Amino acid sequence: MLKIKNLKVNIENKEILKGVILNIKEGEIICIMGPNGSGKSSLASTIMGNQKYRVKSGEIIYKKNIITKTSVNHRASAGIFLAHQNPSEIFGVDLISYLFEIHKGYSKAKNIKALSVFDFNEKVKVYMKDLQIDDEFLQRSLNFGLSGGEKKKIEILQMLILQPELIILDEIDSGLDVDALKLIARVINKYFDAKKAILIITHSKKILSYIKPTRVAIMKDGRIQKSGDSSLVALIEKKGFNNE
Amino acid sequence: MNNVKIKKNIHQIDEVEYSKKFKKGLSKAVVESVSADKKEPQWMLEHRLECLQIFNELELPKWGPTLSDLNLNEIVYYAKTSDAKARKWEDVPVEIKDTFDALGILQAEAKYLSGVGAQFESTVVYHKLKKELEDRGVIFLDLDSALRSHEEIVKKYFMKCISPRLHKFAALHGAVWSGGTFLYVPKGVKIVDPLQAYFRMNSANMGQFEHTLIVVEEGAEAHYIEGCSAPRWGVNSLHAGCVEVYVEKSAHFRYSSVENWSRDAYNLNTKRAIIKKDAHMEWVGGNFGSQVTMLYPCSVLVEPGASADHLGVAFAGRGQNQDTGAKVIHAAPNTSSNVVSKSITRNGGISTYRGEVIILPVARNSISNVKCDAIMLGDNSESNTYPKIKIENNTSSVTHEATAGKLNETDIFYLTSRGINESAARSLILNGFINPIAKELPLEYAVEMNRMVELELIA
Repeated sequence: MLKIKNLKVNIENKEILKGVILNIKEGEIICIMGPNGSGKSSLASTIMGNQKYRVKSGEIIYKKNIITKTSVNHRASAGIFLAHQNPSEIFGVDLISYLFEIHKGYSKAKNIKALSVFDFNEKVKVYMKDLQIDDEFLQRSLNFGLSGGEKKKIEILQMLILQPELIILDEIDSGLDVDALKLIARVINKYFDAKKAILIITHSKKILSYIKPTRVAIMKDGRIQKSGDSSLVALIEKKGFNNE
Repeated sequence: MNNVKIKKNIHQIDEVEYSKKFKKGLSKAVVESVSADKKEPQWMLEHRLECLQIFNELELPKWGPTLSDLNLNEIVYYAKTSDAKARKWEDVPVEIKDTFDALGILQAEAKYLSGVGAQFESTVVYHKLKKELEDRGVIFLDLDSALRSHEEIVKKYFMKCISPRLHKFAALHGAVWSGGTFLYVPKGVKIVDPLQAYFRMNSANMGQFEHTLIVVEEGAEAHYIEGCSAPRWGVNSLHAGCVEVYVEKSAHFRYSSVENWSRDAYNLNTKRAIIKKDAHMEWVGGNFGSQVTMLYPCSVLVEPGASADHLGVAFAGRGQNQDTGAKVIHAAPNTSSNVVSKSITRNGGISTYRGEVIILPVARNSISNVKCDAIMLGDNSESNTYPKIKIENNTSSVTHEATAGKLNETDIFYLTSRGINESAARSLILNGFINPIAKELPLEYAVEMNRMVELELIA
């Protein structure tokens, strides 16, 4: 589904990804672990197309198309979803109108008819119940004044609306207590199937108890240093990132 | 959202015939002719001439945007299309009716307004108030008619709140004022649906000087909206209106305006309210057009428990200087005020918040909160904040908060990562930014504001 070929990326003229090679197939759940500053989140943002990250060389191929130069919104329309580490607060834009906007965008990209406002609201309420999000948030500004955990739930709510195939979870576990983490993991596991792929970016193994990776990779200093099955997690647990 | 049909560009010039149009320039003879044409009482003529004298004495303001390109000798001070004031749109000349129709006024009147006034150049061409409000003693007329039919009330309040000595343009206004609205809401009458007036300045070099006089009696409530526009000519025009509001004991009044003059216009407007015991005044304003705007609605809180809210949003594009703000004078104990000002500046435009909060010694236990937020788009835009605060007792407090910055690229990345294209993302953020003010305006104006953001501000 996703092929990353020798990707080198600069941020503010500093090389931050130094030749990343990564393949993700349908049905895979890949976890990238690594210490802070290793380039994990930069990789997530670069896959999504954030212009702040300048691709110097290498390629990103998604479903056989080179998307290295594709704009962010087109990547999203093609089925890539990034659950942001720090979701933005957008003042004055109420959640329900916003969700309907992105639903309309999704429907247009998929060339299907958008739901009526009524049907859409009903659907959103079902999702919100699964995620235990308070209905009252619908009328509030998007993410505005929400706690870290609430924001993460709103991210997953958007995932359900956008029905993506490649899901990138950038530190989804930060700001979440164990119950909320379990809840989010349950919703993601329910959504996941053999046609989709998940890329988990994390620096702690907490989430891996609830979403089981098929493969674990370790990132350090802008490169994937090591990859293997989930037994790698135990190794990191024992020796830390620096002693492989 | 976009359910308002715009049949033609509002900055397009309308072809109309004039029954009276004065030559350019200002003189005693011009002022006398205006008064004579209106068959005014002697005291009004005398007032006009006194104002003219004050105008000649006073100098241009020494602060704020430069007015050196405004040639007051090149302005036409009076023009009218017809002597008749219609109470039915069918009686309004068709070209003028089409203009107001294109502006959405007829549609809005049919849908939700309590009353409508429409002014074209110097005179009001249409005025209508719902019958049931008329029966309850509400007076909603153009000011020229009110001066004839309700002379005593007009005389009691006219330019008592705004003195011609306030500044040069208040004096000019006093000399050549024409048209505008008179609204009188009797004691205890609560008007639910808003009343609206629309001012259209059509010819080149025109000066429009409408005077709005509003009296809201004890315990009464009303909401009045003004909309303004003018076509683009490429030569300077001048708008120097006055709005005077008297909010009596325990009354509530909201004044909303959306001023979208053409890029040729100087919009030098004066708006002031006197607010009595436990009464509340709200100013909601949007400023888009004009090359230069100088507008600082003022609330004078004269009795205990009086309060005022000022909400304003300004847009400045290339060649525009939006100098706006608020002034609040706390002149009684336990008074409160709240000022929220937002601006969006683009392409080298200048926007300035200029505000003044004065808490007099007598105004014990008073409170004022001021918040100014500015977004600048592009590299060469300018945004300034000049807040003046004067607290003359030690039991009152004033807070001032200001933010200024660019659109946050991280926010744009966030929204685009959900499939929204970049320009829509920018527009969403900007509309969210102005939303606290836009949502206080009637839908048509909110839509117009959203459209402005999309048309004018999204590169």
